[in-house]
Amino acid sequence: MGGAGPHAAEALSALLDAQLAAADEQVVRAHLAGCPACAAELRQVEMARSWVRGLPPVDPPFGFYERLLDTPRRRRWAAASLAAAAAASVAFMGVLPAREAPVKPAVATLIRTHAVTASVDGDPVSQLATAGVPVSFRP
Amino acid sequence: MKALVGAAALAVIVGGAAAGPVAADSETALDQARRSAQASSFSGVVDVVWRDGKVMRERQLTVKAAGGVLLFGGPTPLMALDQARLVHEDAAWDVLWPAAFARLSRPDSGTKYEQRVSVGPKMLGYDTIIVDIRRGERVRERLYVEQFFGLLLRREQFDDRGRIQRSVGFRELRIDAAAPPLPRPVSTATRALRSVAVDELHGAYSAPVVLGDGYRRTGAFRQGDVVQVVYSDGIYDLSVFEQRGRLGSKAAPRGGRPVRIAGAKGWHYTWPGGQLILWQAGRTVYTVVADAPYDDVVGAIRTVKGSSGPSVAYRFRQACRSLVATFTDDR
Repeated sequence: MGGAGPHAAEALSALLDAQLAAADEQVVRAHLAGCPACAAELRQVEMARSWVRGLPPVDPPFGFYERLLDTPRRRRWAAASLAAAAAASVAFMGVLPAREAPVKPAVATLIRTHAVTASVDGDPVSQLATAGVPVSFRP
Repeated sequence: MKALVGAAALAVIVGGAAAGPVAADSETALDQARRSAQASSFSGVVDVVWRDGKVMRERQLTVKAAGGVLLFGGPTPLMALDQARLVHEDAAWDVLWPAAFARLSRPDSGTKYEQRVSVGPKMLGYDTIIVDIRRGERVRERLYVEQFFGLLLRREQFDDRGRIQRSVGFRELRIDAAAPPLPRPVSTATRALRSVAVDELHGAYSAPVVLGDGYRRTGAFRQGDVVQVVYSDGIYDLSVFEQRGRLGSKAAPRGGRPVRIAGAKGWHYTWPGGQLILWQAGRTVYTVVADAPYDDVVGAIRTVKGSSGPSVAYRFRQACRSLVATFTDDR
Protein backbone atom coordinates (compact mmCIF):
# COMPACT_ATOMS: atom_id res chain seq x y z
CA MET A 1 0.00 0.00 0.00
CA GLY A 2 3.01 2.24 -0.12
CA GLY A 3 2.39 5.28 1.98
CA ALA A 4 -0.97 3.97 3.09
CA GLY A 5 0.56 1.09 5.00
CA PRO A 6 -0.74 -2.45 4.88
CA HIS A 7 -4.34 -1.19 5.06
CA ALA A 8 -5.77 1.96 3.57
CA ALA A 9 -7.17 3.41 6.80
CA GLU A 10 -5.07 6.58 6.71
CA ALA A 11 -5.97 7.22 3.09
CA LEU A 12 -9.74 6.68 3.21
CA SER A 13 -10.63 10.20 4.32
CA ALA A 14 -8.30 11.66 1.73
CA LEU A 15 -9.88 9.45 -0.90
CA LEU A 16 -13.40 10.61 -0.01
CA ASP A 17 -12.23 14.20 -0.09
CA ALA A 18 -10.55 13.69 -3.48
CA GLN A 19 -7.32 14.90 -1.95
CA LEU A 20 -5.15 12.05 -3.14
CA ALA A 21 -2.77 12.37 -6.06
CA ALA A 22 -3.85 10.32 -9.06
CA ALA A 23 -1.16 7.70 -8.54
CA ASP A 24 -1.97 7.34 -4.82
CA GLU A 25 -5.69 7.11 -5.56
CA GLN A 26 -5.01 4.30 -8.00
CA VAL A 27 -3.01 2.42 -5.37
CA VAL A 28 -5.73 2.88 -2.74
CA ARG A 29 -8.52 1.81 -5.11
CA ALA A 30 -6.52 -1.27 -6.11
CA HIS A 31 -6.11 -2.14 -2.44
CA LEU A 32 -9.83 -1.60 -1.78
CA ALA A 33 -10.69 -3.97 -4.61
CA GLY A 34 -8.88 -6.77 -2.83
CA CYS A 35 -9.39 -5.88 0.82
CA PRO A 36 -12.90 -6.42 2.19
CA ALA A 37 -11.96 -4.88 5.57
CA CYS A 38 -10.90 -1.56 4.05
CA ALA A 39 -13.84 -1.55 1.64
CA ALA A 40 -16.20 -1.99 4.61
CA GLU A 41 -14.46 0.81 6.52
CA LEU A 42 -14.79 3.12 3.53
CA ARG A 43 -18.53 2.40 3.34
CA GLN A 44 -18.92 3.13 7.06
CA VAL A 45 -17.07 6.45 6.86
CA GLU A 46 -19.11 7.41 3.81
CA MET A 47 -22.33 6.52 5.60
CA ALA A 48 -21.42 8.51 8.73
CA ARG A 49 -20.68 11.57 6.65
CA SER A 50 -23.89 11.29 4.71
CA TRP A 51 -25.85 11.09 7.98
CA VAL A 52 -24.23 14.23 9.32
CA ARG A 53 -24.77 16.08 6.05
CA GLY A 54 -28.35 14.87 5.93
CA LEU A 55 -29.30 16.54 9.23
CA PRO A 56 -31.82 19.34 8.63
CA PRO A 57 -30.75 22.90 9.44
CA VAL A 58 -32.32 24.25 12.63
CA ASP A 59 -32.97 27.95 13.12
CA PRO A 60 -32.61 29.08 16.75
CA PRO A 61 -35.44 31.08 18.32
CA PHE A 62 -35.35 34.82 17.97
CA GLY A 63 -32.84 36.40 20.36
CA PHE A 64 -31.20 33.04 21.31
CA TYR A 65 -27.63 34.04 20.51
CA GLU A 66 -28.04 37.44 22.15
CA ARG A 67 -29.35 35.91 25.36
CA LEU A 68 -26.68 33.23 25.30
CA LEU A 69 -23.81 35.61 24.89
CA ASP A 70 -24.98 38.59 26.84
CA THR A 71 -22.76 37.89 29.83
CA PRO A 72 -19.16 36.64 30.09
CA ARG A 73 -20.24 33.75 32.33
CA ARG A 74 -22.84 32.56 29.84
CA ARG A 75 -20.27 32.82 27.06
CA ARG A 76 -17.89 30.55 28.96
CA TRP A 77 -20.63 27.99 29.62
CA ALA A 78 -21.70 28.08 26.00
CA ALA A 79 -18.19 27.51 24.75
CA ALA A 80 -17.63 24.67 27.22
CA SER A 81 -20.94 23.04 26.31
CA LEU A 82 -20.20 23.19 22.61
CA ALA A 83 -16.71 21.75 23.15
CA ALA A 84 -18.09 18.92 25.29
CA ALA A 85 -20.75 18.07 22.74
CA ALA A 86 -18.18 18.03 19.95
CA ALA A 87 -15.84 15.83 21.95
CA ALA A 88 -18.66 13.41 22.80
CA SER A 89 -19.63 13.20 19.14
CA VAL A 90 -16.06 12.52 18.09
CA ALA A 91 -15.66 9.87 20.76
CA PHE A 92 -18.91 8.18 19.77
CA MET A 93 -18.16 8.19 16.06
CA GLY A 94 -14.49 7.44 16.11
CA VAL A 95 -13.40 5.56 19.18
CA LEU A 96 -15.94 2.80 18.97
CA PRO A 97 -14.27 0.12 16.85
CA ALA A 98 -15.97 -0.77 13.61
CA ARG A 99 -17.30 -4.29 13.31
CA GLU A 100 -14.81 -6.31 11.28
CA ALA A 101 -15.76 -8.05 8.07
CA PRO A 102 -16.22 -11.83 8.32
CA VAL A 103 -13.27 -13.92 7.15
CA LYS A 104 -13.30 -17.48 5.86
CA PRO A 105 -9.70 -18.69 5.51
CA ALA A 106 -9.00 -20.68 2.33
CA VAL A 107 -7.39 -23.49 4.29
CA ALA A 108 -6.45 -25.65 1.29
CA THR A 109 -4.61 -22.75 -0.30
CA LEU A 110 -2.90 -21.86 2.98
CA ILE A 111 -1.77 -25.46 3.47
CA ARG A 112 -0.31 -25.57 -0.02
CA THR A 113 1.37 -22.20 0.51
CA HIS A 114 2.99 -23.46 3.69
CA ALA A 115 4.16 -26.73 2.13
CA VAL A 116 5.63 -24.87 -0.82
CA THR A 117 7.42 -22.44 1.50
CA ALA A 118 8.80 -25.33 3.57
CA SER A 119 9.98 -27.15 0.46
CA VAL A 120 12.31 -24.32 -0.51
CA ASP A 121 14.63 -24.84 2.45
CA GLY A 122 13.62 -28.36 3.38
CA ASP A 123 13.49 -31.59 1.42
CA PRO A 124 11.40 -30.84 -1.70
CA VAL A 125 10.25 -34.45 -2.17
CA SER A 126 8.73 -34.99 1.27
CA GLN A 127 7.37 -31.44 1.56
CA LEU A 128 5.86 -31.06 -1.91
CA ALA A 129 4.34 -34.54 -1.77
CA THR A 130 2.14 -33.46 1.13
CA ALA A 131 1.05 -30.39 -0.85
CA GLY A 132 0.00 -32.64 -3.73
CA VAL A 133 -2.56 -34.56 -1.66
CA PRO A 134 -6.04 -32.98 -1.82
CA VAL A 135 -7.08 -31.53 1.53
CA SER A 136 -10.12 -33.15 3.07
CA PHE A 137 -11.10 -32.83 6.71
CA ARG A 138 -13.44 -35.57 7.77
CA PRO A 139 -15.12 -35.71 11.17
CA MET B 1 28.51 -34.09 -8.57
CA LYS B 2 27.11 -32.26 -5.56
CA ALA B 3 25.27 -35.39 -4.64
CA LEU B 4 28.44 -37.41 -4.70
CA VAL B 5 30.27 -34.91 -2.54
CA GLY B 6 27.38 -34.88 -0.09
CA ALA B 7 27.27 -38.64 -0.12
CA ALA B 8 30.95 -38.70 0.69
CA ALA B 9 30.27 -36.49 3.72
CA LEU B 10 27.50 -38.82 4.82
CA ALA B 11 29.80 -41.80 4.27
CA VAL B 12 32.26 -40.25 6.72
CA ILE B 13 29.45 -39.94 9.24
CA VAL B 14 28.42 -43.52 8.63
CA GLY B 15 32.03 -44.59 9.08
CA GLY B 16 31.81 -43.16 12.57
CA ALA B 17 28.45 -44.77 13.04
CA ALA B 18 29.93 -48.22 12.54
CA ALA B 19 31.36 -47.97 16.04
CA GLY B 20 28.09 -46.60 17.45
CA PRO B 21 25.78 -43.64 16.87
CA VAL B 22 27.54 -40.31 16.55
CA ALA B 23 26.22 -36.78 16.32
CA ALA B 24 26.13 -35.32 12.83
CA ASP B 25 27.79 -32.00 12.09
CA SER B 26 25.92 -28.83 11.18
CA GLU B 27 25.35 -30.08 7.65
CA THR B 28 21.93 -31.57 8.25
CA ALA B 29 20.61 -34.54 6.37
CA LEU B 30 17.68 -32.38 5.22
CA ASP B 31 20.04 -29.89 3.57
CA GLN B 32 21.75 -32.81 1.91
CA ALA B 33 18.44 -34.27 0.77
CA ARG B 34 17.32 -30.94 -0.70
CA ARG B 35 20.42 -30.62 -2.82
CA SER B 36 20.25 -34.24 -3.89
CA ALA B 37 16.59 -34.02 -4.93
CA GLN B 38 17.40 -31.01 -7.11
CA ALA B 39 20.48 -32.58 -8.69
CA SER B 40 19.49 -36.24 -9.11
CA SER B 41 17.51 -37.95 -11.86
CA PHE B 42 14.93 -40.45 -10.67
CA SER B 43 11.34 -41.58 -11.01
CA GLY B 44 9.00 -43.44 -8.72
CA VAL B 45 5.89 -43.48 -6.56
CA VAL B 46 5.71 -41.75 -3.17
CA ASP B 47 3.47 -42.88 -0.32
CA VAL B 48 2.05 -40.18 1.95
CA VAL B 49 0.66 -41.65 5.19
CA TRP B 50 -0.73 -39.67 8.09
CA ARG B 51 -2.67 -40.25 11.28
CA ASP B 52 -5.98 -38.43 11.39
CA GLY B 53 -7.44 -39.02 14.83
CA LYS B 54 -7.55 -42.78 15.22
CA VAL B 55 -7.38 -43.46 11.51
CA MET B 56 -4.30 -43.79 9.29
CA ARG B 57 -4.85 -42.28 5.84
CA GLU B 58 -2.73 -42.88 2.78
CA ARG B 59 -2.25 -41.46 -0.72
CA GLN B 60 0.19 -42.17 -3.54
CA LEU B 61 1.74 -39.71 -5.96
CA THR B 62 4.01 -40.26 -8.93
CA VAL B 63 7.25 -38.29 -9.00
CA LYS B 64 10.07 -37.83 -11.46
CA ALA B 65 13.12 -35.61 -11.55
CA ALA B 66 15.79 -34.79 -14.11
CA GLY B 67 17.71 -31.75 -15.25
CA GLY B 68 16.80 -29.64 -12.22
CA VAL B 69 13.06 -30.27 -12.64
CA LEU B 70 11.13 -32.20 -9.96
CA LEU B 71 7.57 -33.04 -11.01
CA PHE B 72 4.75 -34.50 -8.93
CA GLY B 73 1.71 -36.01 -10.64
CA GLY B 74 -1.71 -36.31 -9.07
CA PRO B 75 -4.87 -34.23 -9.12
CA THR B 76 -2.87 -31.00 -8.75
CA PRO B 77 0.56 -31.39 -10.34
CA LEU B 78 3.37 -29.53 -8.61
CA MET B 79 6.84 -28.70 -9.83
CA ALA B 80 10.12 -27.64 -8.23
CA LEU B 81 12.05 -25.82 -10.90
CA ASP B 82 15.41 -25.03 -9.35
CA GLN B 83 14.42 -22.57 -6.62
CA ALA B 84 10.92 -21.86 -7.98
CA ARG B 85 7.74 -23.77 -7.07
CA LEU B 86 4.83 -24.06 -9.50
CA VAL B 87 1.34 -25.57 -9.57
CA HIS B 88 -0.57 -26.72 -12.62
CA GLU B 89 -4.14 -25.40 -12.56
CA ASP B 90 -6.57 -24.44 -15.31
CA ALA B 91 -4.24 -25.85 -17.99
CA ALA B 92 -1.40 -23.52 -17.05
CA TRP B 93 1.59 -23.41 -14.72
CA ASP B 94 1.36 -20.80 -11.98
CA VAL B 95 4.39 -19.75 -9.99
CA LEU B 96 3.66 -20.14 -6.29
CA TRP B 97 7.19 -19.32 -5.18
CA PRO B 98 9.28 -17.17 -7.53
CA ALA B 99 12.88 -18.18 -8.17
CA ALA B 100 13.93 -14.63 -7.35
CA PHE B 101 12.92 -14.98 -3.69
CA ALA B 102 15.84 -15.40 -1.35
CA ARG B 103 16.01 -18.67 0.52
CA LEU B 104 14.81 -18.48 4.09
CA SER B 105 17.63 -18.84 6.53
CA ARG B 106 16.71 -21.54 9.01
CA PRO B 107 18.12 -21.31 12.53
CA ASP B 108 20.61 -23.90 13.73
CA SER B 109 18.70 -26.98 14.82
CA GLY B 110 21.51 -28.01 17.16
CA THR B 111 20.22 -25.98 20.07
CA LYS B 112 16.95 -27.93 20.17
CA TYR B 113 17.63 -31.26 18.50
CA GLU B 114 20.36 -33.83 18.36
CA GLN B 115 21.03 -35.85 15.24
CA ARG B 116 22.33 -39.39 15.46
CA VAL B 117 23.41 -41.34 12.44
CA SER B 118 23.56 -45.09 12.03
CA VAL B 119 23.67 -47.64 9.25
CA GLY B 120 20.22 -48.27 7.84
CA PRO B 121 18.55 -51.14 6.00
CA LYS B 122 18.51 -51.68 2.27
CA MET B 123 15.41 -49.96 0.89
CA LEU B 124 14.11 -50.54 -2.63
CA GLY B 125 17.54 -51.92 -3.52
CA TYR B 126 19.50 -48.93 -2.20
CA ASP B 127 21.81 -48.79 0.82
CA THR B 128 20.69 -46.27 3.44
CA ILE B 129 21.82 -44.53 6.54
CA ILE B 130 19.39 -43.59 9.30
CA VAL B 131 19.40 -40.10 10.76
CA ASP B 132 17.46 -39.89 14.01
CA ILE B 133 16.44 -36.39 15.01
CA ARG B 134 16.06 -36.50 18.75
CA ARG B 135 14.79 -34.12 21.34
CA GLY B 136 15.79 -35.29 24.77
CA GLU B 137 15.26 -39.01 24.91
CA ARG B 138 12.62 -39.06 22.21
CA VAL B 139 13.14 -39.62 18.52
CA ARG B 140 10.94 -37.05 16.79
CA GLU B 141 11.86 -37.78 13.22
CA ARG B 142 13.68 -40.60 11.42
CA LEU B 143 15.21 -40.08 8.00
CA TYR B 144 16.31 -42.88 5.68
CA VAL B 145 18.92 -41.40 3.34
CA GLU B 146 20.26 -43.20 0.30
CA GLN B 147 24.00 -43.56 0.81
CA PHE B 148 25.44 -42.71 -2.59
CA PHE B 149 23.27 -39.82 -3.85
CA GLY B 150 22.02 -38.55 -0.50
CA LEU B 151 18.39 -38.78 -1.63
CA LEU B 152 15.85 -38.92 1.20
CA LEU B 153 14.00 -42.21 0.67
CA ARG B 154 11.68 -42.10 3.65
CA ARG B 155 10.82 -39.76 6.47
CA GLU B 156 8.89 -40.75 9.60
CA GLN B 157 7.54 -38.54 12.35
CA PHE B 158 6.73 -40.03 15.76
CA ASP B 159 4.26 -39.02 18.41
CA ASP B 160 4.78 -38.98 22.18
CA ARG B 161 4.13 -42.71 22.38
CA GLY B 162 6.65 -43.55 19.69
CA ARG B 163 3.99 -44.34 17.08
CA ILE B 164 4.44 -43.16 13.52
CA GLN B 165 2.35 -40.02 13.20
CA ARG B 166 3.03 -39.55 9.53
CA SER B 167 5.48 -40.66 6.89
CA VAL B 168 6.47 -39.83 3.36
CA GLY B 169 8.53 -42.39 1.47
CA PHE B 170 9.19 -43.96 -1.86
CA ARG B 171 7.13 -47.03 -2.63
CA GLU B 172 8.89 -47.40 -5.99
CA LEU B 173 12.14 -45.72 -7.02
CA ARG B 174 14.51 -45.85 -9.95
CA ILE B 175 17.55 -43.59 -9.83
CA ASP B 176 18.80 -43.08 -13.37
CA ALA B 177 21.64 -40.61 -13.80
CA ALA B 178 21.30 -40.90 -17.59
CA ALA B 179 17.64 -39.83 -17.73
CA PRO B 180 17.02 -36.97 -20.18
CA PRO B 181 16.06 -33.60 -18.64
CA LEU B 182 12.35 -33.03 -18.06
CA PRO B 183 10.77 -30.29 -20.16
CA ARG B 184 10.43 -26.89 -18.49
CA PRO B 185 7.19 -24.90 -18.76
CA VAL B 186 7.20 -22.59 -21.77
CA SER B 187 5.20 -19.87 -20.03
CA THR B 188 4.07 -19.31 -16.49
CA ALA B 189 1.87 -16.91 -14.59
CA THR B 190 2.88 -15.54 -11.21
CA ARG B 191 0.56 -15.28 -8.25
CA ALA B 192 0.52 -11.98 -6.42
CA LEU B 193 2.72 -13.29 -3.60
CA ARG B 194 5.31 -10.78 -2.52
CA SER B 195 7.94 -10.72 0.15
CA VAL B 196 7.45 -7.98 2.72
CA ALA B 197 9.73 -6.46 5.32
CA VAL B 198 8.29 -6.89 8.79
CA ASP B 199 8.56 -3.11 9.30
CA GLU B 200 6.11 -2.72 6.43
CA LEU B 201 3.41 -4.43 8.52
CA HIS B 202 3.33 -1.33 10.77
CA GLY B 203 2.47 -3.34 13.84
CA ALA B 204 -0.96 -4.11 12.40
CA TYR B 205 0.00 -7.80 12.30
CA SER B 206 1.66 -10.00 14.87
CA ALA B 207 5.16 -10.94 13.70
CA PRO B 208 7.43 -11.40 16.72
CA VAL B 209 11.04 -12.39 16.08
CA VAL B 210 10.61 -15.55 18.14
CA LEU B 211 7.66 -17.72 19.09
CA GLY B 212 7.59 -20.26 21.90
CA ASP B 213 9.62 -23.46 21.82
CA GLY B 214 12.57 -22.06 19.87
CA TYR B 215 10.84 -21.00 16.65
CA ARG B 216 12.50 -18.02 14.97
CA ARG B 217 11.05 -15.81 12.26
CA THR B 218 12.59 -16.48 8.85
CA GLY B 219 10.44 -14.36 6.53
CA ALA B 220 7.16 -12.56 5.88
CA PHE B 221 5.01 -12.53 2.76
CA ARG B 222 1.78 -11.03 1.59
CA GLN B 223 -0.83 -12.17 -0.92
CA GLY B 224 -3.90 -9.97 -1.17
CA ASP B 225 -5.21 -9.45 2.34
CA VAL B 226 -3.36 -12.47 3.77
CA VAL B 227 -0.05 -12.00 5.57
CA GLN B 228 2.15 -15.07 6.07
CA VAL B 229 4.87 -14.96 8.71
CA VAL B 230 7.18 -17.97 8.52
CA TYR B 231 9.03 -19.48 11.49
CA SER B 232 11.42 -22.39 11.84
CA ASP B 233 13.19 -24.26 14.63
CA GLY B 234 15.78 -25.64 12.20
CA ILE B 235 13.88 -28.86 11.49
CA TYR B 236 10.23 -27.90 11.24
CA ASP B 237 8.56 -24.89 9.65
CA LEU B 238 5.49 -23.06 10.86
CA SER B 239 3.46 -20.49 8.92
CA VAL B 240 1.25 -17.99 10.74
CA PHE B 241 -1.35 -16.69 8.27
CA GLU B 242 -3.12 -13.54 9.44
CA GLN B 243 -6.27 -11.94 8.06
CA ARG B 244 -7.95 -8.88 9.52
CA GLY B 245 -11.57 -9.56 10.35
CA ARG B 246 -13.65 -11.89 12.42
CA LEU B 247 -14.07 -15.62 12.08
CA GLY B 248 -17.58 -16.17 10.80
CA SER B 249 -19.75 -18.73 12.58
CA LYS B 250 -19.48 -21.16 9.65
CA ALA B 251 -16.00 -20.16 8.50
CA ALA B 252 -14.16 -23.07 10.11
CA PRO B 253 -14.22 -26.25 8.00
CA ARG B 254 -16.09 -29.21 9.39
CA GLY B 255 -14.10 -31.93 11.08
CA GLY B 256 -12.03 -29.74 13.40
CA ARG B 257 -11.31 -30.61 17.00
CA PRO B 258 -11.90 -27.76 19.46
CA VAL B 259 -8.79 -26.34 21.13
CA ARG B 260 -8.01 -23.26 23.20
CA ILE B 261 -5.18 -21.01 22.15
CA ALA B 262 -4.23 -18.37 24.73
CA GLY B 263 -7.79 -18.38 26.03
CA ALA B 264 -9.43 -18.17 22.61
CA LYS B 265 -11.55 -20.89 21.09
CA GLY B 266 -10.04 -22.50 18.02
CA TRP B 267 -10.10 -25.62 15.88
CA HIS B 268 -7.38 -28.17 15.15
CA TYR B 269 -7.16 -30.14 11.91
CA THR B 270 -4.73 -32.71 10.63
CA TRP B 271 -3.51 -32.49 7.06
CA PRO B 272 -1.15 -34.93 5.28
CA GLY B 273 1.90 -32.85 6.18
CA GLY B 274 1.13 -31.84 9.75
CA GLN B 275 -1.19 -29.61 11.73
CA LEU B 276 -3.52 -26.72 11.08
CA ILE B 277 -4.93 -24.58 13.88
CA LEU B 278 -7.48 -21.86 13.27
CA TRP B 279 -8.66 -19.20 15.74
CA GLN B 280 -9.50 -15.56 16.18
CA ALA B 281 -7.69 -13.23 18.57
CA GLY B 282 -8.49 -9.55 18.77
CA ARG B 283 -9.46 -8.38 15.31
CA THR B 284 -7.36 -10.94 13.47
CA VAL B 285 -8.09 -14.46 12.24
CA TYR B 286 -5.06 -16.73 12.57
CA THR B 287 -4.46 -19.91 10.60
CA VAL B 288 -1.29 -21.70 11.64
CA VAL B 289 -0.02 -24.44 9.35
CA ALA B 290 2.99 -26.46 10.44
CA ASP B 291 4.77 -29.72 9.74
CA ALA B 292 5.79 -30.06 13.40
CA PRO B 293 4.10 -32.38 15.91
CA TYR B 294 0.94 -31.01 17.51
CA ASP B 295 2.44 -30.32 20.96
CA ASP B 296 5.28 -28.33 19.40
CA VAL B 297 2.86 -26.23 17.39
CA VAL B 298 0.70 -25.43 20.40
CA GLY B 299 3.82 -24.58 22.42
CA ALA B 300 4.96 -22.20 19.71
CA ILE B 301 1.71 -20.35 19.06
CA ARG B 302 0.78 -19.74 22.68
CA THR B 303 2.85 -16.57 22.37
CA VAL B 304 0.94 -15.21 19.35
CA LYS B 305 -0.93 -12.17 20.58
CA GLY B 306 -3.95 -11.01 18.70
CA SER B 307 -3.68 -7.64 17.06
CA SER B 308 -6.46 -5.42 18.33
CA GLY B 309 -6.37 -3.30 15.21
CA PRO B 310 -5.86 0.45 15.11
CA SER B 311 -5.29 1.99 18.54
CA VAL B 312 -7.88 4.16 20.29
CA ALA B 313 -5.62 7.18 19.72
CA TYR B 314 -5.44 6.39 16.01
CA ARG B 315 -9.21 5.98 15.71
CA PHE B 316 -9.73 9.20 17.70
CA ARG B 317 -7.39 11.08 15.36
CA GLN B 318 -9.19 9.68 12.34
CA ALA B 319 -12.57 10.61 13.78
CA CYS B 320 -11.42 14.18 14.43
CA ARG B 321 -10.14 14.50 10.89
CA SER B 322 -13.36 13.10 9.53
CA LEU B 323 -15.48 15.44 11.65
CA VAL B 324 -13.48 18.50 10.69
CA ALA B 325 -13.56 17.50 7.05
CA THR B 326 -17.34 17.08 7.22
CA PHE B 327 -17.97 20.60 8.50
CA THR B 328 -15.37 22.28 6.32
CA ASP B 329 -16.36 20.48 3.13
CA ASP B 330 -17.44 23.07 0.59
CA ARG B 331 -18.90 20.67 -1.91
